[in-house]
Amino acid sequence: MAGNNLLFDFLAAIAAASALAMITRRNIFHGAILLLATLLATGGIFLQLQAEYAFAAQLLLFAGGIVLLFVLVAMLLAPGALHHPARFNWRMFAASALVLVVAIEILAFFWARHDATLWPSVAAMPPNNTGTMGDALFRDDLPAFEFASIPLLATIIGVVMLAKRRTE
Amino acid sequence: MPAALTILEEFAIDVLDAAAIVGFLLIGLVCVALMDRRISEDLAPQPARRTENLPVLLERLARALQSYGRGLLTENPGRFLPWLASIASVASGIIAFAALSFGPAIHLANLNAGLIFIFAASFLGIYGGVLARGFSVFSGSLAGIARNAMRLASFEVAAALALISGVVLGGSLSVGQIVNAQLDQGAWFIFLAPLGFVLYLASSIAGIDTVARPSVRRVAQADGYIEAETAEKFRWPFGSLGASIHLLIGAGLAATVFGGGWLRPFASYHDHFAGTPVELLDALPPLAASAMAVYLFWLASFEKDNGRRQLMKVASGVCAALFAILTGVLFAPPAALAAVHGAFWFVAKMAAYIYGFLWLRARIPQFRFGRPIRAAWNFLIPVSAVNLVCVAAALVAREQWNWSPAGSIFLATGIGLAIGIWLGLRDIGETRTYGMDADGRQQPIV
Repeated sequence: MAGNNLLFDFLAAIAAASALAMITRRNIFHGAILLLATLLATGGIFLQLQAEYAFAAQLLLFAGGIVLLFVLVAMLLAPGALHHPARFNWRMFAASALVLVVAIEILAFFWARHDATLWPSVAAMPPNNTGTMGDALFRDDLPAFEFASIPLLATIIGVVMLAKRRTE
Repeated sequence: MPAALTILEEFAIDVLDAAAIVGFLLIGLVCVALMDRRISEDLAPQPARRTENLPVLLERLARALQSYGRGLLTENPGRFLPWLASIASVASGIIAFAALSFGPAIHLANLNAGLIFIFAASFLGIYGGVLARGFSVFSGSLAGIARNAMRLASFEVAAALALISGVVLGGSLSVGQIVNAQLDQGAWFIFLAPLGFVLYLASSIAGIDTVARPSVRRVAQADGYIEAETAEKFRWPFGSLGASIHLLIGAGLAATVFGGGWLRPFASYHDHFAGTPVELLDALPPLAASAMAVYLFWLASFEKDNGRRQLMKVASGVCAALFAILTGVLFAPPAALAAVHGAFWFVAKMAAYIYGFLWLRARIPQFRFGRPIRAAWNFLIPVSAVNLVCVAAALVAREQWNWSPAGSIFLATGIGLAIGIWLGLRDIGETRTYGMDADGRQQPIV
């Protein structure tokens, strides 16, 4: 168990440090890669909690999809961003204030409930939790799941319509 | 006991396992390179470049690996990103290998979402290409980034859909459970979903093949693809280390899902040598190894090239050692027997897949970029989806309505094939009309 705790400390330290480094770096690509490191370390914690599906989804969707999209868009749209980092502007202030407020909220939440059991223990996790999750999504709560997919479908159709070549 | 020592004890086995996997991958890389060179030589002999003896190859591998410690061929936007770019595709491949099983109990991580993990981890290799092109000394590599990402995404979708037909048959995403399902059902899934395997192979060939060919390297260099550059600089034969590792992973997935993993052929047939607990079919691996050793030694006597003769003799010696191990383990406890022979069968299946892959790849002409993408979205993905539905329907027909296995499989494969042929013919027709305008002039084809 000592090793497990050490592993958690290690992953948590990586996640926290790279998150902190991400918001302090000027270089947009370094920021994206540090975000990737945060996501991978968080995924490692999921894996340690035996939430293997969440871990794989983290890799595939966030690390493989979303951060990759950030990197690609940054490269395609702002090739100069590499050598000329964005100058100071007031939006930074607004964003920082917002982040600060949210951070205080989260900390207050944890402070109010610091003695309650927020998370189930690892032992409470069913061994085949991927299967359990599949049952929940596709059998027990199928309508809710399908409704949740409607915005996604709308987005896909919207993208197709925007990208469609005009035929006149 | 001090805490540090307990922790060391806890992780010692895992670290050893990880080291074994990395060692296996390095040997696998050399084998892939040798196989690729040999196959392309069979196709077009290149007597001037026959330098593939073992010391030279090992030196090249060492230099290629050494190069990953440095920043490569970039405008130097710091040291970190180029370094990351150069290791990303290789590192992601090594990570993905952790979830594959070489035998009933030989694996680093037995995840119950193992296949998704393997796919996800190997997909992270795309960062190598993206970052490398982004920081390349060549201008105009941005199109290359988009191309590379699009190509990989398209063919990963097709390959995943084809692979899911095996997952449906196995009823699980866990590597171990898929192999055990093949044992229970008495057939490898390549026989229950043959079209799925063919589609998987096709999309893997089309998806991996960006820089791997010598003829493509020059084009790829214009795009600024770093792996092609390292390949050119360090003369690594099979295009790039990243592509080789991803080929090994593709082979591992195919062997697991379609080829029965570590199961031997006719795994549910148990007949023993009279009076011994040794099964008849367990004599196959030692026989194969000894036959290979003798054949290679015999073949080496005809070889004129000195380096290649040495290599053949080394390989023959390795096969002889393998024979000794595989025979010795027949008289060991059943667990050891299952582990060693399981690993033998798994690696043999991977090798067979890789040989077939490289053989086919060497014989398929290289297409301009847009064509394979069109093929992926207009042909491979729809056919894979239809095949998936057909395989699932055949499974239901077998289990619920008691259809005969052969009938249901033939019907499912037939429907999939018919739709595939229809889509293919339609696509050929479309391409023709698309390429010409009304006066017969050539129009740009997307």
